[in-house]
Amino acid sequence: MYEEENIESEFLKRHKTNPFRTPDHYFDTIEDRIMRGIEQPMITKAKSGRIIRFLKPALGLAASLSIVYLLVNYSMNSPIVNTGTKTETAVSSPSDLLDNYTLNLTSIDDNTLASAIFSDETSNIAATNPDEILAFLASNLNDVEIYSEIQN
Amino acid sequence: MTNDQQILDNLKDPSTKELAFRYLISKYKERLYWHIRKITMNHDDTDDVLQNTFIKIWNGIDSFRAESSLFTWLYRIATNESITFLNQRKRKMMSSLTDENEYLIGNLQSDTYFDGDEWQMLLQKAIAILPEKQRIVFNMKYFDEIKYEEMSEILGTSVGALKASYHHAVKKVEEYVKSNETRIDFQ
Repeated sequence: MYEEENIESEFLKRHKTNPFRTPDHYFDTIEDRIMRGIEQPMITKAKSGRIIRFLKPALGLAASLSIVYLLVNYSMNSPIVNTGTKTETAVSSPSDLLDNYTLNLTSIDDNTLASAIFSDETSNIAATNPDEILAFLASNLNDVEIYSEIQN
Repeated sequence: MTNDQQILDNLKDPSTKELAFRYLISKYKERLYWHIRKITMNHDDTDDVLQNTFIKIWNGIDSFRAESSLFTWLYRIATNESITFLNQRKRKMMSSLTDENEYLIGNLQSDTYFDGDEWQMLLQKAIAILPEKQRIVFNMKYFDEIKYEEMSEILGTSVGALKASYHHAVKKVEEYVKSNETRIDFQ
């Protein structure tokens, strides 16, 4: 359908020349410029590769030391010692016990704490016979009498 | 080292790769330059695109499977790089096809390396206002005289569609020239 042989006008046939030009000696140096353009990213890549290669052992050593430090630190601070739970009580330091005690006290509310403190006294008072109390108060002993009573 | 197969063989060998690539540049630099120049219509833009094209070729040479000829592959990369370059410019500075044509005409008028007369300037302006595909087909057929079959491989378009594109491009160019030739001052 579209035959190209006869579609070009006389005008197109007449002006079939390239009107563009290049700067002088443009093509003389193009190989060098292109090769420089190719090598530039390669050099950058190689440099970064060299830095990583140089840092790799140092980073590995630092990571190993960090792991060892964390493991030692963890085992020193951990409440569970390798010898087991029974020996843990024996090796616990006084400060550990104090910490545990403090922790228990802080975990109890005021009412519970008050009732825990006074519960024994209340029960003792309730268990004591009022007649015995009265007899004790009525005896009205002085210090010398009390001392002699004790000695007897 | 004369034919493309020898160049390709040497490019696969690390010890001769750089030398072979230099040879490939020297063999194709002018043809690719003029192909790109007719698309971008400006020397400085062409210089950038040509460098990018050869860098792409260097990076992709190991994956070249020789399913098409080396020449076809190089032209395809150069064409794609040129189109990508113009699209980037379009995104940065322009918004429509008309503006792209104006950009190309501006490129043409500001190019200090244009040596043509008024008739040739008129012809280049007529080419600049063509749609992108028609412009590329017109340049490849009219100036470079590339066969439709080869053009089909480079552009990935059927021969029939290429013939139609060229036909429409010629008609548009002639119409533009006829309507503007009276403005040319004959001396």
